[in-house]
Amino acid sequence: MALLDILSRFFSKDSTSSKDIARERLRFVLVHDRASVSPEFINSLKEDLIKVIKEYMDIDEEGLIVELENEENSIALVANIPVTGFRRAANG
Amino acid sequence: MKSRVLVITSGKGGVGKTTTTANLGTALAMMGKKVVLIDTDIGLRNLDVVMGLENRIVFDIVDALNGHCKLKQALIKDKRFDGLYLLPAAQTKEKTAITPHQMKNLTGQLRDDFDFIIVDCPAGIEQGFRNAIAGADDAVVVATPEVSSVRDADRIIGLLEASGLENCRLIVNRLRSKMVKRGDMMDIGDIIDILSIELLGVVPEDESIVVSTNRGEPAVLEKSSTAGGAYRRIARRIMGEEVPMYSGDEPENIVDKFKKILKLAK
Amino acid sequence: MVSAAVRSVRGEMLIDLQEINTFTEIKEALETQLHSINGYLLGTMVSINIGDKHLTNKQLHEIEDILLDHGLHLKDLIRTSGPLSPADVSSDDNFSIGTMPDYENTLLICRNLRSGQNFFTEGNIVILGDINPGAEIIAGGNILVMGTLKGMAHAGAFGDEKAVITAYRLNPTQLRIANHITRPPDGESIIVNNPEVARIRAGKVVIEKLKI
Repeated sequence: MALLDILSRFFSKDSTSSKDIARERLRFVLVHDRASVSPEFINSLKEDLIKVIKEYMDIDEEGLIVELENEENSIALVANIPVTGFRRAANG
Repeated sequence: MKSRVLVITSGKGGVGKTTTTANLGTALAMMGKKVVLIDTDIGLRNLDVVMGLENRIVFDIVDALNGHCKLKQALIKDKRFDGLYLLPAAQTKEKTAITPHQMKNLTGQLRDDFDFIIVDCPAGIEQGFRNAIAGADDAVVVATPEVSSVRDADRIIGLLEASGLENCRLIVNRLRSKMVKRGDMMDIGDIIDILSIELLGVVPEDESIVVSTNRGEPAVLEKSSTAGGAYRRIARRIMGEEVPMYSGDEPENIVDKFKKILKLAK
Repeated sequence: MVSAAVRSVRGEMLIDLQEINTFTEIKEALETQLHSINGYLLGTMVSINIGDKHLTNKQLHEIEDILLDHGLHLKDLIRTSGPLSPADVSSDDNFSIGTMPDYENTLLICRNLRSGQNFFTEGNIVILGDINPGAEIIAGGNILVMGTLKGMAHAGAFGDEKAVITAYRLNPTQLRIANHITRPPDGESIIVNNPEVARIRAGKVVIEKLKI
């Protein structure tokens, strides 16, 4: 490796290299791209969630909200599910 | 050998689809295969100039599909290889002049006479893209190591999978090994990691591509071209050979550098 | 050995080399002829007829150099098919405006045509501008380009073999007249800096200097 390379690397140790920035930005943008491909994606996720949860408790299907929320540099799946009652079997 | 229909696509423009189509087609023809290249970029045709065949065009793909001429009349024979043909796009029409159904029939007909049918896809995800992928068995996605290109490649891979084209492989084009070493360009590992797709090959950034495009002579014909060499290796990989991947240090490793210095000292 | 014919027309010299096949022979014949002629004036303009052969730029420069060695200037490179007899020079087989077929309508286009643009008319087309590569003009009659023709032009599209294509600078991707198609030869092209006319002669598309 050329001396200049070593020196420049030595002095720029603190800053993240631009390839890492590229990789992280891509990761973020792709999670978003892949998730927001279509409203059907969210709908089918909703249906599956309802199916699973209904085995354990009674929920208000109409009031169920499923969203992808963008934070500063992450994406969160946020579900708000109103519970109307518990099933005996699941409790016991 | 069973014939294969390969679509070369990328989503983003300017990443090297047409260059890749011309070079892989020529490289496969150099290996003695019968190859036809189809330009589906109607209205913005370019494969003809990259191949240096622009002054031979009489009929184009739209003429052939709409029955203005026979398919064989629209095929332009390459000036260098007997087994290589080009089906040019129309320049004065629009993408909607042909349909995915027609493309499927077209590639079906060509299967009888050719080992490889390579389809050069236009940029974008609209009708031109749907036409190009209609009859394909395999897809080759071309991406450069840039955020915008990789993002579009991801979108394209998703669309290819959704349309039932599961056999997608990636060519990383215009890789600059010096920038990768400096940490200023994503490396192959990063890209493969993000796209989770099989790597077909890596083509280094190479000025000889500009020269060969100027001349209308694909770079694979030039022995000394590094990009041409990379395309020749990809062609062998398409043929099923095991060929080591481009490592990034190829043109000048330390031993070569020393040899050069010694030579200069003499 | 095949010899070259030299004639003098209106103070200019015309050297006929169209019978000679290879470039080496052309050069030899030119040298022999120039040595054998006495009494020409230094600075005389010379036109050379090379028949239907094509010369690369390098070859053209070589010919120019040979002429300059003898104090002559290359005026023009004439490309024709078939032997050039004295009759050819004066007869109506040589192109003149009068021999162009008549068509009633003429379409006048006052702009440059770019890639992907095309025009069609049943009559003549006159363009005040360039036709870029990838642009197409198709006419039932004649085509006249008052600019550089770099794209494709098709004259006599309904089969009129007498139709002609003329251009201020003729440097086309492809030319079509009636059912004939021609394209420039592969490799380097000859740069001609004067108006030219393309027409069918003896069943072939030939390009000649435009004389009006």
